[in-house]
Amino acid sequence: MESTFGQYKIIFTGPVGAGKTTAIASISDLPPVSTDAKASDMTRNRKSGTTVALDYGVLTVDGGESIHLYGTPGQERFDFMWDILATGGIGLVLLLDNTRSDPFRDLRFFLGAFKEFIRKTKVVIGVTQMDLNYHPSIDDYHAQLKTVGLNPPVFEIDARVKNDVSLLVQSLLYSIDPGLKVS
Amino acid sequence: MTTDNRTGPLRIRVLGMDNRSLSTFKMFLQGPCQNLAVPVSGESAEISLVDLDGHGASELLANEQERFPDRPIIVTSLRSPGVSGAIHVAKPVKAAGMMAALKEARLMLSLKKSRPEIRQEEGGNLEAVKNPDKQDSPVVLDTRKPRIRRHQRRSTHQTAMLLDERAYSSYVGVVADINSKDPHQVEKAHYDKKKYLQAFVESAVKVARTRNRILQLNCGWKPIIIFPHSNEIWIEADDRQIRSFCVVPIHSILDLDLRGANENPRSIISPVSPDLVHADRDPKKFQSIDAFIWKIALWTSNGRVPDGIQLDQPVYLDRWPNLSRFVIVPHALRIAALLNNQSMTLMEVAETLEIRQQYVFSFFSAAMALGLAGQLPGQHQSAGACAPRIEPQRSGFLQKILHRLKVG
Repeated sequence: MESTFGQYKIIFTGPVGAGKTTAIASISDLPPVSTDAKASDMTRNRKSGTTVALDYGVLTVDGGESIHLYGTPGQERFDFMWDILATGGIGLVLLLDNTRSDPFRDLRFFLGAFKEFIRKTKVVIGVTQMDLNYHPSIDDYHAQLKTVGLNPPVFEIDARVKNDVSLLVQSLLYSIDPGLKVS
Repeated sequence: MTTDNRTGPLRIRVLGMDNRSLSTFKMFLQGPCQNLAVPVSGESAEISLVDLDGHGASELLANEQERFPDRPIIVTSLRSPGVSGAIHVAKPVKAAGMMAALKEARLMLSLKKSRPEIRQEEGGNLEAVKNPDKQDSPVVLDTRKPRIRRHQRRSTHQTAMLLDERAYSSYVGVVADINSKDPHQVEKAHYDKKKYLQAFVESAVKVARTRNRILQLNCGWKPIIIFPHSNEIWIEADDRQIRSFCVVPIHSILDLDLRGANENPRSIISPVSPDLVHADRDPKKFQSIDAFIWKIALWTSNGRVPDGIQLDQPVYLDRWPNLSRFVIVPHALRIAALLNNQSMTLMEVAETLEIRQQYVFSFFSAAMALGLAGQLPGQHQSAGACAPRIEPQRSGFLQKILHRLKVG
């Protein structure tokens, strides 16, 4: 499946401050292109800058092909961008910030916003900042997900740690096809 | 901060209750709760209690946490509130639950007094947030709601240990695949977990979580202290030592009764004495309870499955383990993805993925120890188990991405 941008892509989404920009930077071959700007609304409470258009990173694989990593703008008022970004994506990485006031609301919101995309592809969930706020636990997230009929991988991650982000993306790929093998 | 080295009642500030409820609560503390705490107002309080079901309770709690970030807070509510750093007492509040919470709060006061570095860590992170150069860092504090940082220990949140086939072999050893038709080989592929540390830890964690209190597991070796509120355990041992002890049958060493004599000094599970809680602890020895159980189940299993698991009966995986924080056996992600998609026998999993049985058995044993996996009842009808596949061209590209991610 080719995306509208002519290549494969993985979409990173989630609320402001969940670590999308950082996660893409963790695994991208090139310094990610980011469109952060000074926050001027409710996001200022959580980040001094926030992504207003998109983040972009790239992973180059054997043979010179690339997998493109797109981060959606976290602010909901930019949700018109999400469909455009998601078109042609092979899967969704949803990052949630466990220190936000209602992470389950974020979970439901983003699952709803990407409902059609998830139906056609797969989703994995990374929960950040669990070292600061242990609750809700990973089990609590699974319980929430069951109520909407989903059972994806949910990992605690530190978006700055390449291994964490890599595992999350690997779980996305294996969710698409458990038969994938790496020689 | 107020001292806690005394035996008098804790001074508790109660928020979110009307006068009538507060009067009742005072009597509850004096009587059934054996005068462990006495309500006071304002600054003289050592701990706070917030009734989360009251009007505006969330705001009260946030304000209290902001005003007194070092103060232990007990919250009462009908539903689990998911409040970090607070001790939860579920309604209807019973004396035992409230007394346990008050003791826990007293221990927290003691810990804070003996570990002032917790405050320093907070200060450090606040500095990081103020530094605009670090604005992309996910360590962003919600300054509206300062938290008590019980989870600063990186050991509890460290990234997964990835074992490829070679590393796994040198770590655990190689176990030959078995013929499931050979009863002798099938028997050798099983182990009785009740004989090993694994079962004792699982039981002790269950008790600690049920009673909602810090407990110590005494199993004839190093004590293991279980902190259910923060989902942590502490043991003065490194992985190599723990791994060695995992395969030692300890049931015959100990005269144990897991049903639990609370105050019996010979009991396998005992409340943690204040002395032990106050002891200088190496923060690197704290581990996540789930990661610890997963790990000791892997080591105890050693490529086998617990007794009672039928190799020709399908098993299920209820949900993905939190693999980013666990020791990862070879092909764990593939096994999880496959079993999460469909139930099948353990032998079929190994065949479908074309991997050694010991990886599947180890993975399943660890997932089962955490209550994430189990065996389906009834006779298995061969479903022609196979992994869901996608078109070869796309599959080839996904494999390239995987290779790229794994190679780094």
